[in-house]
Amino acid sequence: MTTFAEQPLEEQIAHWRAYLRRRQGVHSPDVEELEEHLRDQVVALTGGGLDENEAFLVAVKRMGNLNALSREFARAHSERLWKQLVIASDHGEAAKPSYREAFVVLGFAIAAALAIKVPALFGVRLGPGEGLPPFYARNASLFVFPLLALYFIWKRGSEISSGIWPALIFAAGAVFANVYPFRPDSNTQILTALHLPIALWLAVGSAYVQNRWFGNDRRMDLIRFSGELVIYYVLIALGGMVLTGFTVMMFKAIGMKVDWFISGWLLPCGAMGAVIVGSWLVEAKQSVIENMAPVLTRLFTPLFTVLLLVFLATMAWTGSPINVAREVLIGFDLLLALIVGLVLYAASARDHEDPPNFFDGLQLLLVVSALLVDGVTLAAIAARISEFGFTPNRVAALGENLILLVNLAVSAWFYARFLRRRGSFAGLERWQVAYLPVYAVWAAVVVVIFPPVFGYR
Amino acid sequence: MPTGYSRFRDSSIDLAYIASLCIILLRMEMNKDLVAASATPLVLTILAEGDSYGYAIIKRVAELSGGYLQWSDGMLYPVLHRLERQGHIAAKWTSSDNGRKRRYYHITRSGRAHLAAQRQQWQRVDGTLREIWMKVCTA
Repeated sequence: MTTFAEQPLEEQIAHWRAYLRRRQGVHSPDVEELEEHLRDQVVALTGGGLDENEAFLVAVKRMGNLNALSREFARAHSERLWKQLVIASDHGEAAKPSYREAFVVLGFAIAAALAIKVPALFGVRLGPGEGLPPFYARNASLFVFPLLALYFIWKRGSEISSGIWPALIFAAGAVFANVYPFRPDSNTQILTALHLPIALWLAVGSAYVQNRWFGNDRRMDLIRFSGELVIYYVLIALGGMVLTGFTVMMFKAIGMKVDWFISGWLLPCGAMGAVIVGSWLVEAKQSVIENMAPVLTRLFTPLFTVLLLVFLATMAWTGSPINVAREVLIGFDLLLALIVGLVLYAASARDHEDPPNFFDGLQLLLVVSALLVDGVTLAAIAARISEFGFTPNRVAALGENLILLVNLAVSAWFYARFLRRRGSFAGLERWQVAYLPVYAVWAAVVVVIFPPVFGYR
Repeated sequence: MPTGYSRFRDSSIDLAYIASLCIILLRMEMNKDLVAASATPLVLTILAEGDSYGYAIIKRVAELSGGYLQWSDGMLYPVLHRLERQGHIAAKWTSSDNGRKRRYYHITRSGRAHLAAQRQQWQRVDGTLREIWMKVCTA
């Protein structure tokens, strides 16, 4: 065994360099410059009679405290703590592949933007004043998700054959979205439009995790990715709205109407391309900046807890029942989905080793109050069904409610065990990731089975 | 080099001499803030003598201060980078004959102006303190 002092000089310098490189605010050219300094110093000291190891130790000591040093570097280049928000990989070697990837991503994004225009060649047009043709509503995800899956297969360097499963799922999705003879204004058609993307996300996820579904870590990565993608997508959409606003304003100023361009090209092409670009951004930044989804979770968990508690208290006080209109049902389902999301993203960012803390207690409170609200909603749906019979919307809402109820109930149990130090946090995390396929399977059931069962109403 | 350069060069050696005197005067207790504040004029002065790189600058500082003005070596580099961003100095990587790369710094026109301003400020502080202390001593 060799001790540190016995290692050859080059190795010691390499260690020191690696140690320095990990510092935020110190970039590789700085490290190079400091290393040259260190070498000069070592040469001078060995010239003065020290041996190499002694010289190295003295030189390192003279360099000073590296914490203070990297702090000074960060202060001299304050943008460095920010710059990481832009995709400029650390100078030099790494820059080239990222250019190549940028071009590939651009290619995929343009392909997605063009794909949405292909149906127009066959007479299914998008334009102002006609509303969204049902064809587009049902198939929207099919224009971009396969390209996204392809991007992941390319990015991960997976075998092309690993794309067979996603391809099969997409093909099935395309078939079921289009073979059914939906009636005009059919509810099951709307349900298909809403649920198909959820089912197809499984195929995208499959490409994302390289078909390794059974590693929990990979699934958790998929969850993190999905959350970040939503956030980036919303941000890109906001930018797109500003762009749209200026386009309209400027052309109006010279007396031209550009509605046909906005609703026929800018919006659909932008919406498709943004999925690819957003995914690329998330991929590129995952290691560089803090994930936003857990931050938002932290912010909104207390607020939603308060909302649910106040809501329950008000309902108990006034005794007014939930009026089960269609929007209300969907609204409550979305609320529960959001609560599950809060639990999921809190779990995704948590270090399992940490002992229970205040935030975990808050999460449990959130989950329990959500359970109570869910119970009330379920009772209302059940009453509605027994009174007016089954409709596709009510059954879909009921199914989703039950799925989320099971998830939340088990989560509450895990949280309670964890808080009483009877179990580990990892259990909750495992439960959440194990449950993921259930959502996709239910969505697939709604897409495949509901329309025929309910007579395409 | 323009003729102004050599004129400045003389005065900067002059300044370096004064700086070394000041440092000897202050050697007992070098206040950290004072060391930090003196870094900029020192570095600019040394670069006004001629282009140089980090290690050589540190050596020059040690030489001028008789070893009493000690920074930890690393701390010079953030100072250099800050001056570079402010446009007072410019940097260029060059490789020396033995294949080693060095980052050479060169003082710019704005750097010389900044040095002149700094020099005035330091002299004013120095002059004021000197005057006050003389009065205090005679009182």
